[in-house]
Amino acid sequence: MNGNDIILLLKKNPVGVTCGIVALLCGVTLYLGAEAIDDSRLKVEASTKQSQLMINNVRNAAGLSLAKQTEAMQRAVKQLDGRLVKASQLATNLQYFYRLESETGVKLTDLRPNQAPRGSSGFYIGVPYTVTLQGTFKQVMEFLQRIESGKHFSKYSAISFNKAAGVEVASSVLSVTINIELLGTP
Amino acid sequence: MSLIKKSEANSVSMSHWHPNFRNFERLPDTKVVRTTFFINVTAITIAACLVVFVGYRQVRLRELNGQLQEAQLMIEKNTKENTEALRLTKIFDEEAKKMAEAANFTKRTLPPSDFIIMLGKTLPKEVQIESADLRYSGATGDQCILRGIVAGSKEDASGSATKYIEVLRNAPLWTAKFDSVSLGALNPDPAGGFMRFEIILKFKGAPKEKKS
Repeated sequence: MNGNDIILLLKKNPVGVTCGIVALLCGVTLYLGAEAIDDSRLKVEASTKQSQLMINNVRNAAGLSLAKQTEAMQRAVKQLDGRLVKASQLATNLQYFYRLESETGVKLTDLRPNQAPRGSSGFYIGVPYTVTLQGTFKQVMEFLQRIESGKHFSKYSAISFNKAAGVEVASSVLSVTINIELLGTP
Repeated sequence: MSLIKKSEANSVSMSHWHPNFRNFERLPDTKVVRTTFFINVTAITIAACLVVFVGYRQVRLRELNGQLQEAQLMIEKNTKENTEALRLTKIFDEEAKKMAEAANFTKRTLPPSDFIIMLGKTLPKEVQIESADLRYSGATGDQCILRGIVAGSKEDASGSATKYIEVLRNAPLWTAKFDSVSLGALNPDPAGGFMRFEIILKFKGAPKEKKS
């Protein structure tokens, strides 16, 4: 079949040949863009998801007044930080107990810092002390209440109330041993 | 004559042969519906289907691209505010963790001062507490051990001790804080006319002791 024959064939079947060319072009287009729609769909889904997430973030932040709340939280934490003890400042920490002693009238017979637990994973640590004191019922109660609602945050590990040795029962003098932790930083 | 008849009888009938000079390729298609028509219709249908399919895909692709652009625009528009919101959230979370840790630290099962007040409210005349040990941690969990004396004869004292335990078990103030109240020991004091007792109170939430 030479060129003339082809031209003759084209002239004889113009519709068929045209349709064939169109079909061929369509096939090539489909082949080249086979994954275009899937890719685009995936991109659209990812972008829409990200966009929706951002919109939600922005809307929630605005709705909850996040800026104000964060500011309030920061203020609260700052106040909290002001009530923490520093484990390294032994004298200052002991002064806290001695001040309570003078204010409540109890007598501290022993006051010892204990070994702080190591490897704390949190922001704060409990700085442990053992406090032994003597006083009347009223004095002891005041001392305990001052600790519970005092400047520093505290947690009792153990507390033991006993009649003070060598003191008559009628005098109501108590001997109290407290194992306590004050919230602080290393 | 006979000769003539004979020759007629012997003659062979021959068909009227002639060569076929028709060129079929150039002859017109004489069918009712021409074959070319079917071929063209089929070709046009296939081509049209393909064109429509390709067109549909292109339209869909354009739609998706439009959606993608829209989403990108929204992302660009909200990026700044979102970054700020995330920054604030991170700060808030960090600070909230600190607050939660401090709150958890100060969470008390029962403050000792409240415990002493509770004890004073329920203490009968004939019972005297000599010591109270509160453990807020340890292998046996949070618990309190009360040690004291009960005045009276052995019979009266044991009755008073039992009554006191019942009071502790049933008083709403105590049941709200303690899971169990049990008598650990009740022995006569060799020196005086009273009984020594030991009462164990388990705070709510304390682990149960394993029975061996």
